[in-house]
Amino acid sequence: MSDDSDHFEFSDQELDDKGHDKIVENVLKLNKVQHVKSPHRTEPTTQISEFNLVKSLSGHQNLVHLNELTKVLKGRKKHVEIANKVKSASGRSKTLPKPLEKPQAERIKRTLNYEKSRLQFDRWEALVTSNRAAPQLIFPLDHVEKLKIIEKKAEVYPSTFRLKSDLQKKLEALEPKSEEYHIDIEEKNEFPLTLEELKEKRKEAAKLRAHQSYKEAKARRQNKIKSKKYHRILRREKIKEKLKEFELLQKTNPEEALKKLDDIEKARAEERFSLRHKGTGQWARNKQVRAKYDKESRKVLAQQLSISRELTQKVKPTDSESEDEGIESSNTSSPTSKQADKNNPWVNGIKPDKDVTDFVSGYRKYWNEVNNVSNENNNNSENANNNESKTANIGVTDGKIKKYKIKSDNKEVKKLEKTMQKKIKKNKSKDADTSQSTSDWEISSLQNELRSSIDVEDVFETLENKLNKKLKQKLMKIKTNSKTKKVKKSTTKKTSEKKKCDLSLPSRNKKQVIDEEMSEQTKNTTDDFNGDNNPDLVTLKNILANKEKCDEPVNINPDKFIKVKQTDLNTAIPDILTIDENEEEVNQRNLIMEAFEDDDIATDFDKEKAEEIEKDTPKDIDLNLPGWGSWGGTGIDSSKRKRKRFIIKMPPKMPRRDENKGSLIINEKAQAKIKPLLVSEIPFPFKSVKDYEASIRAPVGSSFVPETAFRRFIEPAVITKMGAIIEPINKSILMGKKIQI
Amino acid sequence: MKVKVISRNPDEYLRETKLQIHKVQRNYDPNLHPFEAAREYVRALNAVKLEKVFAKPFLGSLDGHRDGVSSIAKHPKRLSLLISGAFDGEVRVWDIPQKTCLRDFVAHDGIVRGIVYTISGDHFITVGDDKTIKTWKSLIPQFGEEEEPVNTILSKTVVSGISHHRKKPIFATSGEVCQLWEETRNEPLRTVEWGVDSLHDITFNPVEGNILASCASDRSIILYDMREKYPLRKVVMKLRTNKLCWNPMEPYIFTTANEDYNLYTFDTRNLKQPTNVHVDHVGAVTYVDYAPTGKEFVSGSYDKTVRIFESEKGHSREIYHTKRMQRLTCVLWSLDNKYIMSGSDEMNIRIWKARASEKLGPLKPRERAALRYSDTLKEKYASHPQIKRIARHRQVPKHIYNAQKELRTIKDKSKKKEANRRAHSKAGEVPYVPERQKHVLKEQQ
Repeated sequence: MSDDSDHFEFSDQELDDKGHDKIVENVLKLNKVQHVKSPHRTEPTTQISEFNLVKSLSGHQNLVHLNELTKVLKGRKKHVEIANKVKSASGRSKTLPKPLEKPQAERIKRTLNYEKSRLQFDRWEALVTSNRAAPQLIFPLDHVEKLKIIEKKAEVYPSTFRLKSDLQKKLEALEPKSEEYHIDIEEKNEFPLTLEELKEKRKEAAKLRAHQSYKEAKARRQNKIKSKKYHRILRREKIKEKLKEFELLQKTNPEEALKKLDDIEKARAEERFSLRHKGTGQWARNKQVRAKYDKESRKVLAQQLSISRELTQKVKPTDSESEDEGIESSNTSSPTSKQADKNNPWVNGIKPDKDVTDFVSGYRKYWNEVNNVSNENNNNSENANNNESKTANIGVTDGKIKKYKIKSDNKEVKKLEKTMQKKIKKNKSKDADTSQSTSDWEISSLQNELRSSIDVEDVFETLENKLNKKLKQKLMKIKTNSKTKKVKKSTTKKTSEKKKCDLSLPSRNKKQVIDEEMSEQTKNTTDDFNGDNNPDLVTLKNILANKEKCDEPVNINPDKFIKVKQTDLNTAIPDILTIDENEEEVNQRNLIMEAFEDDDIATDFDKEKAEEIEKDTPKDIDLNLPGWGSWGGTGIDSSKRKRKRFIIKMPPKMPRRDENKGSLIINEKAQAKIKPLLVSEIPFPFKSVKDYEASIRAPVGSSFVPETAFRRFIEPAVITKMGAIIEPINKSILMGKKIQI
Repeated sequence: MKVKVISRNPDEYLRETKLQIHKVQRNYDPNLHPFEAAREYVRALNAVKLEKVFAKPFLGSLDGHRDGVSSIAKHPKRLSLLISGAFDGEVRVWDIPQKTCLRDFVAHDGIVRGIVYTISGDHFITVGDDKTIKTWKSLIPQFGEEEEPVNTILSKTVVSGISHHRKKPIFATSGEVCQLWEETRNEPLRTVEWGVDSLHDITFNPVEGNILASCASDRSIILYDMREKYPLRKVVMKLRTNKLCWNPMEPYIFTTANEDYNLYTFDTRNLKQPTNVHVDHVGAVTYVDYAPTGKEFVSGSYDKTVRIFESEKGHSREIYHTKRMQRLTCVLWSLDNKYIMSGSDEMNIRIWKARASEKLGPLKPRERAALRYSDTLKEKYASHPQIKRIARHRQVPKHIYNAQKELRTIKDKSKKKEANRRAHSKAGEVPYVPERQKHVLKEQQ
């Protein structure tokens, strides 16, 4: 039919379209077969309805085949080549395989798509995990810089103040702008900084500058102050601070503290005999004032000066003195070797023992060898000197240990040396050697890293430390005894000395995760979620509770008085009452022995324990009611079987904590009251009771911790801004640069 | 003669102005505070009790609808606006702080199935049971002007849900098929089908905007990519999924509200089993919406309660109910993370606080510090039995309580039965199946 319409078109071109359509329609109507109209589309769509599809006009006959086209090419020589190519190509080509079944093909496409989107989601993994683990999130999340073009206001702004004349403007235009000549030296970096980084850098620099200027101003201000009182207070404060530091050091590292104490004393001594303070005392000043007019005071002053001169002269200590102070001198270095002897006037009188000299010579030999081999950097002589002095030092400390020391084999020394060298290499940059830390990391103390002959000295140091270990405790005792008046809380300090002072703030990450059902109840229900539903159990509990309450008879246990040993309690209360108790104790013991001569204490105690045990064991509960379920009355016994049914049996023997403990009674019900208040199991992220207890023990309140720490502790996990809309996370967060908030 | 007197410098204890805080000298030496843990415990106890005292989450209700509320939409840019549609085809625009209705008109014949705002919030689009998609202006019509949609699209298929893209002017509708529309065109850009079952909900991923998810009535969840001709994947659950919501902060996480009283959180990259099962409801869960922080979500249920879940936990942290609130149809979490809006069968929209005992309005610094301190304490002592008991105690209506009891017995019974079967059969014949694996039937490619 369509062919016909084509004919019409060809033949009657001059006919107007409307009329033509009408004619076509009429002709088609004649056939009485419904024809599908070609669809008219007014808008682009992706979906094409199957009903709108029309078969192609031409059909199978009008298909164009490639060979037919090539037939045309036969004529010319040039075209023959192309024809051949086409032929060969058609020979090689294979028919494509039949496409997959629709569901299968679709499935493949779907899986591919899914994999693709999965990869897309994978990009978020890191961010999401970090956000989940973050101790605090602040919403809305504005991590990413939004690009903004800001005018250079600093340059433009001042120009707005002044009206410029035309001439000025013209001149300005002529002038080359100074900006163009700015060359940033730092720009030559391999990786140029981004805008944000630059901004950050600038900000930091400004901060630093501000801080610096502030400090400078403060220093200037302080320097200007002439007030003596102020300076005195300042000095005192400094001293106090030092003292505090020292106390802390004493807690954490007693060895170091001792050394420091010595240093301080030494410094003080040096200061005192520097002759700077000769005439500064109140008395001396008074005398000086009077000296002008008063002969006597002049005389006294002169006398005083002479005394001071006498006192400041070097004193040669005697043998006996040095022996007495043997322990203390071990700590303060006092070289006594032969070589040192010549130079050192202090130890002129002392003759070293034979052991000492043996030890020294042996060591010198060894160390000379070692140094020749290993330590090329240092002069041998220097090392030898060092060694000698050190060994001498050890020698003086304790004559009896020397033999052992000499025997200490070379291997050990070598090992030590190696380890020390390693350590030094690692920690050369560090200079902190206190064990007080603000983090979980432990910093090992290294004191001698700066010295030239590090390894050798360190070895000796360690050896010395070993030697000194035994002495230290004694020494400490002596020192503390002598200074009990000064140190107020000596007892508490003793206990805290051993503890390592950890100043690190506890991590806030660990939060208890309680994922439990809420205990939901209606208003009418009573508190039955404790599992007290069973009335029998309730009565049982009541009975048991009543039994507990029954008062205990007052027993005098003489054993208590006799056997109890006095134990040292670690309390903050100073033990003032330290009277010699031995005599009194003996007296009391005798008295009590006399008083309870007749009693057999051991059996009494056993009896008491048995009683206690019996009291605590639960007894069978007889719920029999006479006449219940059978006739009652005098002379009528209900059957045994029936009676048995109403007796609640208790387990025959419960294990007790004090079962095999002999002379000990443990009251297991003492904690009954506190038990319901205690946590029964460790909450989730915690792994040990110790951890959890530590977390509970650490206070957070402002009455227990400083304000800054308090503020840090109470930071909430999620902070939102009031009235701000929180947008979903943005893709730019994956690509964008972070900005400081 | 010099007389020595014990004196105090008033500077040390007096404040200069009334606005300053009282000076308090403190010594932080732990030796002086032997009872710090005990004192903090008592403070925590008091804090948790006070929390219960102040727990008054209900703020008010918006009434005016003459039929149950079928759908709610929140404005993307303004916190105070809310649109609701009802089962009778009426749409109302609300001013939340004033609790007034700004505008009401009948938008559809039959139920309003879904409402969404466009990106800017100038227009909103509603779909109804009358197979039409209507676009309306957000501006209230002038006096004398009639309420007329800006554009009406007559869809060829039933439309039961709508979701708008967050960045582009594109929205998707669900119904017999999933269709993708451009705002200015009347023909869908794309139509995607998988199976013949109708889809009752569709949601765009707010972050990865090309991804869509829809819930089908054949108990399945289908994922789509906007750019692809074919869907991505299908998960068939044991019971029907009613509503799906993407986590706004974790793009590959979504949570579904299921007919079997539970909510399931899925990871898009691993759909074999949910990453978490959220229990506690005692009726079919009809709606779920994430908090904008992505840390929590709220769910409404057929059991007449609203529950708030923390997204990583299996149990709810809060339950809201009132005597008159009936079956929940939709629940929304406001964009400032402070409020919850719930629409229910009995024609009311209710406004709740997201945290029941939170103090609203600006806080003074000290007040804030005190509240934060008590929160920290509550958290620190959370597992102590006394505190836990008070913090997790809730009064619920009788029907919830009874239903819970019933469910518990059912659960116990099945557990016992399984244990018995295990005990009386060969080892390994009755395997232990984790709870998470029980609810997904299959993942279709």
